[in-house]
Amino acid sequence: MHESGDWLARRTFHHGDFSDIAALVRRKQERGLSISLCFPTLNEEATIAKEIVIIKSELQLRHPLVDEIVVIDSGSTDRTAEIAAEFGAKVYLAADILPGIDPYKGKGENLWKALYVLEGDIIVYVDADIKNIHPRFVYGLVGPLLADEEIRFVKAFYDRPIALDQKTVKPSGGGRVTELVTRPLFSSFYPELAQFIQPLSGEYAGFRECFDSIPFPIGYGVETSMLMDIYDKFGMEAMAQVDLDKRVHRNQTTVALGRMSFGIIQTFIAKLNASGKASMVGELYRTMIQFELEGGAYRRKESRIDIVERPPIIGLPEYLAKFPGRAV
Amino acid sequence: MQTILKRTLELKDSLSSLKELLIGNAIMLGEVPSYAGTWQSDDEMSSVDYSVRARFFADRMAELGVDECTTDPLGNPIGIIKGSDPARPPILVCAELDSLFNPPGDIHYSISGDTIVGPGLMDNALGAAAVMSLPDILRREGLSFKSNVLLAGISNTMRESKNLVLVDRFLDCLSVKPCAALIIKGGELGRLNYYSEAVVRADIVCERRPGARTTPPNMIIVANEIIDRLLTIALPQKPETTVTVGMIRGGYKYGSPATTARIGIELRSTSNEALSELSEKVSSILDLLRYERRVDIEYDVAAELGAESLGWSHPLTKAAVAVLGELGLEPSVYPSVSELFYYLKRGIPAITVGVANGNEYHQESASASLSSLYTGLAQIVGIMLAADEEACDA
Repeated sequence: MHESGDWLARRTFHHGDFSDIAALVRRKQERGLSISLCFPTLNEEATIAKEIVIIKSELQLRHPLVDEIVVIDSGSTDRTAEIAAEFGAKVYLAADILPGIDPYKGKGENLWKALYVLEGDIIVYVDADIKNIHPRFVYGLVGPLLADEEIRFVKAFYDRPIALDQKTVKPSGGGRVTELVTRPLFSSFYPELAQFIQPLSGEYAGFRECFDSIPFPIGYGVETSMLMDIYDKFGMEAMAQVDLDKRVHRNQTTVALGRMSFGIIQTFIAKLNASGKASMVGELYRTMIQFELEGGAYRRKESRIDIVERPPIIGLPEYLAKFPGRAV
Repeated sequence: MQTILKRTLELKDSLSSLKELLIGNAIMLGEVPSYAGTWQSDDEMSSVDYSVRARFFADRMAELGVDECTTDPLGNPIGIIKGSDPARPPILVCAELDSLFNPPGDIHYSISGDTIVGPGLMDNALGAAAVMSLPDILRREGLSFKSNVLLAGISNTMRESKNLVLVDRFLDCLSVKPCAALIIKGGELGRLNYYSEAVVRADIVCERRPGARTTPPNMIIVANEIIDRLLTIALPQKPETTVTVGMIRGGYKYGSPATTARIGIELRSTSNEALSELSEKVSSILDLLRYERRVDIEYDVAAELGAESLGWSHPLTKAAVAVLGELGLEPSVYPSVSELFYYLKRGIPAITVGVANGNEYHQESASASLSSLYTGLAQIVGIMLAADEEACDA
């Protein structure tokens, strides 16, 4: 049994616990905090307008909970950036942020660079492919941060609590990659983190210091890496998770999930190495090998997945110049 | 009136700056299934089912700061914005809350360019969202009225074939007769219904007679014969009178004669008398076939509306024409075959207008143009202002 004891019971919330948005706004004002919402995007024209409209309408115009809505785009070839700007979001092309640094392309890059342009004390990251966007995706995440000063980071999950009622118990958890890759790895090396129902969910919020003091892998693995780093730096008591009920989004193919899993495993091993929890003796290969069946013959398909990591942005002079209060 | 028309035109532009609020309302309301759930009204003695959408409508109205928000005994939410002269009769703005098309599973709307897309949007989530948005619009635009304004969502109208009867009952529950009523539909923008056509909607149900000694006939053949005879009825061109066979259902297996068949028909006329004569002819045809074919034929009238008119020269009609004209819209005048009749037969001056231009009203991909929505909302507010100034003093 690991140390966190009843963490699951104490640090697992439901968005309904925070549905009094006016009370959240009062709490935010009392604590003198500001909140920034970031959508990392790449070709999300089908969903981005609705996401911005709903959040802006409900959590900016009706209740001033969110102070800014920012889209960090990886270079969409569709109308994502144009639509987002039309509905009032601040839109940045990731490559244009911190132009003195060689750009990479990936979700982690967008999240990392967002830290430079976002102004808020609390930062909320929400994926831009959600079809059933609802204000709960944001107030559910910031609720625990505003309510409990000990909580510094909140992760979303989209499942009902493990026990439905006193008698019924159903298996609970994340998607295929979570249950087949991430949770087994966490169970082996970070058993406390295995308590996150959906460690790979793309929606999370935290205080700026949670994010600016950790490295960001630019591609697959950013969520896994983030949990491990925040846990190492702030401990389990500073972390929480919130049930946001249901999330409807595009499903990925098993082949795509395979590549994602490969990236997560690569990131995980690299972090194990760095932390001293395990050490690699031999070579770690960077190519994912998959197969396609075409015309009755199998064809080998290789995907090179390099693990590139941005260092903690707090070490960047440009960042410290903009946020001098973050200087250690 | 000129001042009101000028203000209406200004609203068209200023409302587009509230687009996130207005679209947000349409999405939030439209994604709540109109058929789902029950909730208990404040009147705990009531045993009526209340839709979750009605609850959302009520909660949102309260949140948007109407002076009072209540429910009638049927569970219909009504928001009240108090006017400066409480002695005047109120202005009623209302919309059916339900959506006629309800897809299986969850409802998700989307925005694509200038278009909002989602099932049930045009009939009638958008109409209801327009009414629900009015407190916000009036407050942000600094608009006030002499009369009280009642903003009502009428629920359950599309559940269990109750249809328009519940609109009738809603009006029964009003304690004060409004001086003007605006019925808001999703579309089409520019429609202006100020008179109703006489309508009978009926199901004709054919069934084998229990214990019949002779070989029972195939009910689909009987239904077919009924249709043939309906089509022989001579219909006057003046007053314009029509018969439409809109639905047919029957049978259960390829190789078995159908034991039941059902035909849905609609009879319409601009004259109550002509419709009454037509309905009698239909009854007579069915009586005859009952004897000839020795089967049970039921003539089940689901809705019966009369021909009523507010009149082209009524101040409310004239105000609507003027407002539409100011907004660059040519009024599309045609008879209502919906709830307008119930208002007019009670002597409530009422018109039906649409709030947006849309497509595929009753499909999964129902859509509305956002730019037309702002014009449609300006139109509603303009007519309300005009009614407050002129129609309610008439």
